[in-house]
Amino acid sequence: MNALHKICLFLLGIVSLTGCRYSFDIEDNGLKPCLCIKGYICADSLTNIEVYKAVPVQFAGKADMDLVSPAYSLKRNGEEVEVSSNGIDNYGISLKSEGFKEGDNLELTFSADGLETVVTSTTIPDHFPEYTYKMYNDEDGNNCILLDYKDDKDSEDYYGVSIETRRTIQSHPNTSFVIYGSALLPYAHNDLSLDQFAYAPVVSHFGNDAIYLWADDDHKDDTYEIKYVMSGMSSQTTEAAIRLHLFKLSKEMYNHLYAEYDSSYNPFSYIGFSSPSFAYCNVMKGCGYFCAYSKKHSEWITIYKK
Amino acid sequence: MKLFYKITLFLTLMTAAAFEAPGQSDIKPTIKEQMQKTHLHFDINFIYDSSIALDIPTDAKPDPERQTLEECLETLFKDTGIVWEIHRKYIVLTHKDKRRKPKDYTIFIEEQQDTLSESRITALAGRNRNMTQTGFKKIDKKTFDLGFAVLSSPDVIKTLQQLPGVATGTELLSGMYVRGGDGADNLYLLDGVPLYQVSHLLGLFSSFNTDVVESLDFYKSGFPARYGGRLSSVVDVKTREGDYEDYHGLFSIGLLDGRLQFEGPIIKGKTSFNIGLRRSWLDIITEPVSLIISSKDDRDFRIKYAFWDLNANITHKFSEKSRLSFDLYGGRDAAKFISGEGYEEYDYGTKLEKSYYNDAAMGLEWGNFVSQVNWHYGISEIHELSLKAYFSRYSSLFSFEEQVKEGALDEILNSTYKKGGNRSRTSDVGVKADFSLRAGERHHIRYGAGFQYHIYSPDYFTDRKVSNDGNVIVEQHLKEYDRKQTFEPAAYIEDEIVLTDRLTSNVGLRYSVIFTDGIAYHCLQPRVALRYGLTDNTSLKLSYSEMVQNDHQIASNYLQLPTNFWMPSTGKIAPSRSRQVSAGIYSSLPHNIRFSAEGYFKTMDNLLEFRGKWGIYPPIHLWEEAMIAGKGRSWGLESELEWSDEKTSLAAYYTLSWSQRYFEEFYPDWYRDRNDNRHKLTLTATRKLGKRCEVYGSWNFHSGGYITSEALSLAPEEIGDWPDTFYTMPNNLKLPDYHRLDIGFNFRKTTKRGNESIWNLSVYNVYCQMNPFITYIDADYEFTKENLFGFNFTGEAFGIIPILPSFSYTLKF
Repeated sequence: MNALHKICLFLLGIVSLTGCRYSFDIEDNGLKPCLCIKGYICADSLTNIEVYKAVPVQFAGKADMDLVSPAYSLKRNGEEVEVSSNGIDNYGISLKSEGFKEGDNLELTFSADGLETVVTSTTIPDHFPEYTYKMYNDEDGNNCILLDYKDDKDSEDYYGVSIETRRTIQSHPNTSFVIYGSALLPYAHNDLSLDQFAYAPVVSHFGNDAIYLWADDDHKDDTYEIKYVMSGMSSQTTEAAIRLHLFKLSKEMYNHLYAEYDSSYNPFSYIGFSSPSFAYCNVMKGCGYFCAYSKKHSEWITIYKK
Repeated sequence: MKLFYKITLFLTLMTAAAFEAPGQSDIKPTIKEQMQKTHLHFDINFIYDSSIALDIPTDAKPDPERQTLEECLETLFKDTGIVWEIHRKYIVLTHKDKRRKPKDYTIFIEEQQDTLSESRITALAGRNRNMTQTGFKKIDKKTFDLGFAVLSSPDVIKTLQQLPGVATGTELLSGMYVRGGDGADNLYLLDGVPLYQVSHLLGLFSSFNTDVVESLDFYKSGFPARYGGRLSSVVDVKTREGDYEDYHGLFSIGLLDGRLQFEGPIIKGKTSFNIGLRRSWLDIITEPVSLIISSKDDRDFRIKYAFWDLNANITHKFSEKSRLSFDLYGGRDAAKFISGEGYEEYDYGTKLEKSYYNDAAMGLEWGNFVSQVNWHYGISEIHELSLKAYFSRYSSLFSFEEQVKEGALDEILNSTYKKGGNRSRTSDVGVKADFSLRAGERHHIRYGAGFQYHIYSPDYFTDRKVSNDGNVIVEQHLKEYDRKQTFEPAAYIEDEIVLTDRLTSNVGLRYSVIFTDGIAYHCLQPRVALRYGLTDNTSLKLSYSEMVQNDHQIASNYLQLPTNFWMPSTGKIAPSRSRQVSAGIYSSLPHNIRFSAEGYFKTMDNLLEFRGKWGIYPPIHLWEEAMIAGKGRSWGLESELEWSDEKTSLAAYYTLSWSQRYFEEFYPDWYRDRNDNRHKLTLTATRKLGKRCEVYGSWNFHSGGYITSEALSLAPEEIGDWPDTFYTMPNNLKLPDYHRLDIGFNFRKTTKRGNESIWNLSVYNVYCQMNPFITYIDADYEFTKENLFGFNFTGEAFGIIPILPSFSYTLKF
């Protein structure tokens, strides 16, 4: 597609000859400082929610970022739960709690002096359903896994999968070591820009791992195909294995991760020519995300052994 | 919102008062009432200026039973200071002292089809006031004939964009976002047949050739039941029949395009034709210019772009009551970008070792084709039938082709060839019958039924061939398509009712059913409009209408590219629906001043936004998964103030509006629409300078739209670190306000042969305001004492339309 890109660049060049760039004032855009929530809630795990003060970008690095007189309440299914808090780097506050289970509805209210009170909520989904898998290679030599799972037909469900890898390397005849990592997407997986038949899953990032996302609406037959590449394979690799981390996501979590994906691949996003699907926020009167998931993982599956 | 409640309350009270108005049978009849008698007996209509006082009681008693028309008129207007003149079925009234006639009869002729009471006695100058419908604007041929427009070519869409309640979106892209609509929800009708795409050259020109346009009815609310299929507006363009007696036409040549129009009789007095043709000649300029530019480089580069359209009409009159016409419209845009690049590798700088060559081409095409047959038949004096059969097709194509060759010593060793694209066709085949029945003095009933068969067929194709050492190692031919068909029968009935002398209403119901994907969507759409004549010069109106849209534009971006395609509602995608309440006051003030103010509140359900896998075009096999449904709502107040005399006309259009969206997948609450332009103001002025020269000016302003930007930031963790940035809600960053001044001059001359010639000079964007086309937030790094973290964020805008002078020469013959 090299030449096509050149054509596009040339056309943009022509347009730029007649056009001109200028700065405009973003101070008068009605934005004001607000609270920012960063919270991923996992079932049966310690919950850590971070809260910061966010300011319009033109004041970044220039404004007072302290949260003054913070007050908060976290409710589970309408009842307040105990929360501990402590200050963290970057002028933020960390709220910790635990013991949240599948199906819990959580609502966080947070206020601080000079900032509007924010309210946000999410529901922890149940675990990834029962599944089986089949492994094979496609015609391009990519590793493939076909997941067959039991989706609940009566509810809207959102899923995610990430692939953890483990390689055993024999560096010397008597010395070997193990490297953990994550699988990579096949080369040119996003060639969808022109080729509609290209393999182009919705892949976002959660922490440092790539996470394949889908909603049950998209896959009526309750199967999902994952293609991946095992990185770092060499003649010294004696064993390679993968482990699937299977996520069930709250709607908020799915929308948030989908927005991250969209933000990475949408060529029209930053210039105002596309739907705002790259910008999800479920913190009313504030910014950030407050969303939940549950997670389980498979056994290690050996895919190569010398 | 308080204002709307007040208006609604006021209208309700006035409506109630109107029903209770006492009869006036014991009072002397007014001139107007006597005129009505004359009208009913002789089946003639009056045209007069609103400044003529006709509500004066009179002793004159014309006797239509015994007198001729002339005698009746003489009796009625004797000693009133009003002079009358008969023009076929129309009586033109003027002040005795002024002798100034109303200017255009054709408007009135069209108007009488819309409003029964006004068809009896109407005032030309107050046509918007006298219509029952709210949100209505009629634009006649004369407006376009002035010839003032962007790039010297009069344009329907650009004219509509000036009106209140119509947001224009991004500069150049020719969007028309009516009262919070999404741009794909305007019903464009060309002689009653829907068009899916109406722009040439990314919207710089519209598909309607004003040389053949007779008039245009534009509705933003109060939609009569005979219209359906889109949510936000109706643009009903009617073309002209040819002259039945003489041959004439025009020829026009402008900076970017040329036009030719010719009309005349085929059989004198019986059959006529009218043909209009336009073609751009940008390709004549762009191809050699790009070749010259590329000749200085190592690569070939060519750009070709052209558009054309053709309107043709043949009408045959069997009798005064029976008329058959055949209309044809075809229009096409085609753009091609071709690039070739090569380089060679030499061994030690002398011997040719290897050569590479890369050819690429990209093509874009889009256009409409419409053909239709109409039969208009007068069943009786009061009952008319219009029967129509039509075929309409919108097609678009995006294609690319690339070949990479690698060779040595003139021998091709390896090559890769790839070709692909998407093609979309949306076809409608339809028949409809519309009846018009004037049932007594108080009812004008319209009813009808129609049937549409829609075929949607987007497809995607790709061919790939890879050769190595002359051997084909990969050869692929892939094709994906999604063909859908829907059937859409519809029926309507509406009645224009004169409830009292002051109160009229248009009550209607439209029913359509959409058979798609094995299911049926039944859609009942009630329409009600009320008009209360507060005084002779002032009306109050109220309307409620529901509209349903079955066709959805599938686009991965907001650029109006031919990569978009249309698809119907399916089991997963329900039809879109809008509901709108509108109310206003419409007044003709003394000294030829006209004023109106109209408020509205509108809701929209099942609007679609793209949230799919990203590509240049939406994935054809996954389009239903790629679209998500949400809601919209908008409200606002629009006002118009106009003044005109024989030489000058001035107009000011102002809009105060709000437009919001709710898509749960993006934000769990309502957020601003990207075209939420709070204020919009358009000022226009036209002045005749002597007999031969006219000057025109138009200043357009609207508050900036919105884009979505990571406009909030946390504190950077370390000095020099890029701070974490966040979105608050969609469309959170306001863009700079838009404003632009256009001016134009017409110089008219009569040639030696007695033909009229017009030189037009137009200047678009006179003071070269670079309104933003692309906007984003940019950051630079500068470490200062005041900014210890070093980042400075600024808004950056990129404007592409500078001052654009243009000219055209038109010869009417």
